[in-house]
Amino acid sequence: MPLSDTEIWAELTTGRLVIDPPPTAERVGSSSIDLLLHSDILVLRPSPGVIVDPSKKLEIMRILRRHGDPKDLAIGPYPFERGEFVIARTLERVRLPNHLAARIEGKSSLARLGLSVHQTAPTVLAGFEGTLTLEMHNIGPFGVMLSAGMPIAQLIIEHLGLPATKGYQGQFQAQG
Amino acid sequence: MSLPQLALKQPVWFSPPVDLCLPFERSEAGPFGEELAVEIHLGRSNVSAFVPRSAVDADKSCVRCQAVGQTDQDVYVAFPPTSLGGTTGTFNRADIDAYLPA
Repeated sequence: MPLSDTEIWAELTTGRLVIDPPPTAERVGSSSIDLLLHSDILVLRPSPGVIVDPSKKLEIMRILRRHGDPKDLAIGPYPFERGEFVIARTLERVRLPNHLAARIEGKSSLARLGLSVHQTAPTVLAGFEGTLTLEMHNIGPFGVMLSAGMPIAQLIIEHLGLPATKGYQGQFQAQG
Repeated sequence: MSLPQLALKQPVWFSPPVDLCLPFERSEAGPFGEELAVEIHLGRSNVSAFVPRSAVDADKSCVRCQAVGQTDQDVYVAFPPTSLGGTTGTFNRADIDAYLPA
């Protein structure tokens, strides 16, 4: 069951749920938290004929380097053309305790322009810590301007019936 | 007629996880620079993982990770998460045994 704003604030103020930098009051909705866009994005060029084997991670890195254009939105906004695909991340680091999981979802105002922020992978596992990666696709009829720090997604926090026991949280979580 | 139940067996999860540094043979840098992919071959176990550059011990040519659980045959190793996701690798216990504390 998603947490209400009352429960979100309770988790934030006790430090069990960490969002860094912390959300301002207007970013916490009735049952979600708005997250902002980080300045680093990777624009992936359409590459017909290039086939990726998901099991070969070294090859994936090579292909991403060869077919991706890193952009720094701190220098200026990026016109996200229709049909383009971008890997991005949230400005905020999120830390979930073992009794909370979350889903990252798009914002309705951007969705109506045809912009999606994830490709069927919205789940944030209990115990996760790090920035959230966005797989953004513009399937709308127009280009959409992307700017550093713009509200880009919303996080819905959910309470687990019992805390997770799987060893997900380790000392390396903070490096993600 | 009822179907026989599969004997589902939960792994034993380590609490806390066990720190490891596993040798890797090859690596490939990612587009953001602070992340790379590594390939680890231990005996018959072959695992590739995305890792942050900070997890690599360049002096020892090994990558820091954590054993998080095990079954009778396998040991599960979690690598530090990256923007391309977190990797959990499965190693045969005989292959990784030498890297686990006694």
